[in-house]
Amino acid sequence: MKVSRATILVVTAAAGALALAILGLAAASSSGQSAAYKAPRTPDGKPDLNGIWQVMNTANWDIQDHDQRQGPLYALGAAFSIPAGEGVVVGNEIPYQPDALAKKKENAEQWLKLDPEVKCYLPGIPRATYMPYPFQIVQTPGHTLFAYAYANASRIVYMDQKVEPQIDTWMGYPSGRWDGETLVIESTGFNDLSWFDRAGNFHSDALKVTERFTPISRDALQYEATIEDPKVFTRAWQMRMPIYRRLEQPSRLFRYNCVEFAEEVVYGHLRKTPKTSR
Amino acid sequence: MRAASFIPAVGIVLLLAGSSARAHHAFSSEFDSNKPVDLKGAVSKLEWVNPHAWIHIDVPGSDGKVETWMIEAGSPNVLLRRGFSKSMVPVGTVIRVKGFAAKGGTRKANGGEMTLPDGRTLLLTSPDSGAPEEKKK
Amino acid sequence: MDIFGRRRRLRDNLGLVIAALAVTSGPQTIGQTNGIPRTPDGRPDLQGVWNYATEMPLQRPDEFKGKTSLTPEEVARFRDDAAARRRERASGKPSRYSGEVFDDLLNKADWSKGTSLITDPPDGKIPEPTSQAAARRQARTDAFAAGEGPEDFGLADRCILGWSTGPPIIPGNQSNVLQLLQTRDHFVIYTEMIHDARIVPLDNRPAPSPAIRDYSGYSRGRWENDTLVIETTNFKPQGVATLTFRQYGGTDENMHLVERFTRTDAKTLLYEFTITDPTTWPRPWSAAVPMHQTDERVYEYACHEGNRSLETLLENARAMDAPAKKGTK
Repeated sequence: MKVSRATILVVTAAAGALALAILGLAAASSSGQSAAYKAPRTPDGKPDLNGIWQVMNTANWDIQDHDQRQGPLYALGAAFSIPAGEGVVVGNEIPYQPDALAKKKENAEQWLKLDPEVKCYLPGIPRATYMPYPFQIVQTPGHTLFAYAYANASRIVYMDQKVEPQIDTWMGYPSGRWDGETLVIESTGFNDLSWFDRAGNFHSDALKVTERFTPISRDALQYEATIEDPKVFTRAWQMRMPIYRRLEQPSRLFRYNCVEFAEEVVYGHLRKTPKTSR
Repeated sequence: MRAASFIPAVGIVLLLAGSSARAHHAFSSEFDSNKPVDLKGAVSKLEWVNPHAWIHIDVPGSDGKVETWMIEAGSPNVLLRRGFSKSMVPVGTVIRVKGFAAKGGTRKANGGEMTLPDGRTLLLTSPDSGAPEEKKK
Repeated sequence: MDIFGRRRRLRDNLGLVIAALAVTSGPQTIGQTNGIPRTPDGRPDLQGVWNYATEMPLQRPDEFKGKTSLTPEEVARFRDDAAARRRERASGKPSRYSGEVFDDLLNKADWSKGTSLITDPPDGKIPEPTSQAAARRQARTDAFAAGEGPEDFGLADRCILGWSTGPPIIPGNQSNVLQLLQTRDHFVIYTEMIHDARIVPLDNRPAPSPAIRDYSGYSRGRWENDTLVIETTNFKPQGVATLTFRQYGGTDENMHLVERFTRTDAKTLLYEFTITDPTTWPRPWSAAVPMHQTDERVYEYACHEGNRSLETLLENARAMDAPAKKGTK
């Protein structure tokens, strides 16, 4: 008996869909959202993340839930005090080991003196993502550039290559790959000098960060960062937040070269004539 | 990998000392050629940073008091390309360093020749020798 | 129903899907001309890590005055002198280079074609500066000598802008590596010192407002046949690190820079630049720097974070202020 054309068409379509599913082209994001959005493609067929992006949250103040409170300098009043905000830590708990928790509290108390941001030091990962400044992604098949406005920080992610850390770095040694619609970046080789926020959350040089960038619409990404650090935390934990596209056209990243603004903090005591205090 | 030949290129002009006694070039502390030092002590800390790596050593004085000196080496990026990594001088390693003290009275010195416990020597700021074994990986 | 027939169709369809995927997800470089790979939009692919260390100085050495090429004997003597200087430096005696390490391998230059990286003016020298620039040079020298505060030192001393980043990119004595990334819309020049990602839009947009300036200016690029041409303006008054040294008089906010990138073969990139800065030099000047493909990586060069050098420079300056005071730590 001959198979009807309609049956052949249905079966072919089903086979095609099955093939696509098998080949993993369905956009299943790790956050459990159903495979809805597929971003436009780059010439090599990958989701196109090129553009300028920025978060809109208070994570840089404190990655956990926080109430509003007075900032560090009375003279700056409301211009530099801390607004309330929900945290970006999944479950809101950061699983510090007991000694490490004490250090976090000490960091928070001495924030003005200890936070590397005050000195315009490189922000590390993932803090660079959620500082209140934009960053730009330029994407090629072999490499993905992240250029951050803050402190001219940047990193080049080597795609589909195992990267061996050499010198300890602030921004890590990132190695990237595509998992369906998601850009996955694993980084190690960090020093222990950067913080996660202005609230004193920190890490050691055993840090490993796994990031996932998933387009959820034309102008937004879902971002997840998994933190593993056996010297500081009792288990892995995660941050999650959306990132939004800067829509101004033409778009350009204006760099925040802040080193000169930190010189008084770092070298002021070595000045011949002290600056009058501001 | 030995360089067949070398000219500092722009470096020559960049690093010109100039007439002022206080003139220096970028990325280098001023040294005093009248203040040679020959220090031996245990590595207490490594700052493997740019623009210069710094090796802290605890040097026992004749009076028994320990003085900590900071020895300046070159950029870790360049040292790395030559096969010299900080794992070669872990904390606790007793090294000998010859160099010249910085002006200003602080216990800092330009690292010249460094001698490791097994007798190998390494010039911390020279382009000629890389890893003590003089071989590239 | 013919079971085998159905299975065969399933396999055929799967095969078609796979084939379709292969076409759309192939490598970015799809063709080559003269050994130079091209991108899908037909441009020469300039990407890779490039080493621009060179034995040839920016300016023609005085010993070669009037010579636009060298004989093999002259080249050999030049290299022997350089090796002798290296040996002396390796002896550990203090020298102006103490405290530095240099790139080991400097690319050999083709001395039959020139005796300086500068190609114009014909004498291979940076032109004499204007009187305004000479005054600025003197002011920078004086400030440098006094060292009253961090801003009296160069941008490179302060770890604000690396020597070779510029732009223009001029070879120095270390970290002479950069990485280039290229898409249809952007070109990225990533210099190691100091982790500088210069992102150049390729859509012929105008320069930003003159109110907004960067130490490296703001760049925009376009293709002229197989050469990428980049124009940069909007520099800050301090000028770029390489050229702020006293000897050169420095650049200023009026610099208009044109750079050209041409891949001459699979392993070589020709980088050329022309500086027009009428308040610094009465005429433009140009240079050409060959760059060689390398399998090195660009490593992070965090500078300000560990800048004990500036701390030491300032300590020394304060000690010179008060010679009677014997500071000990």
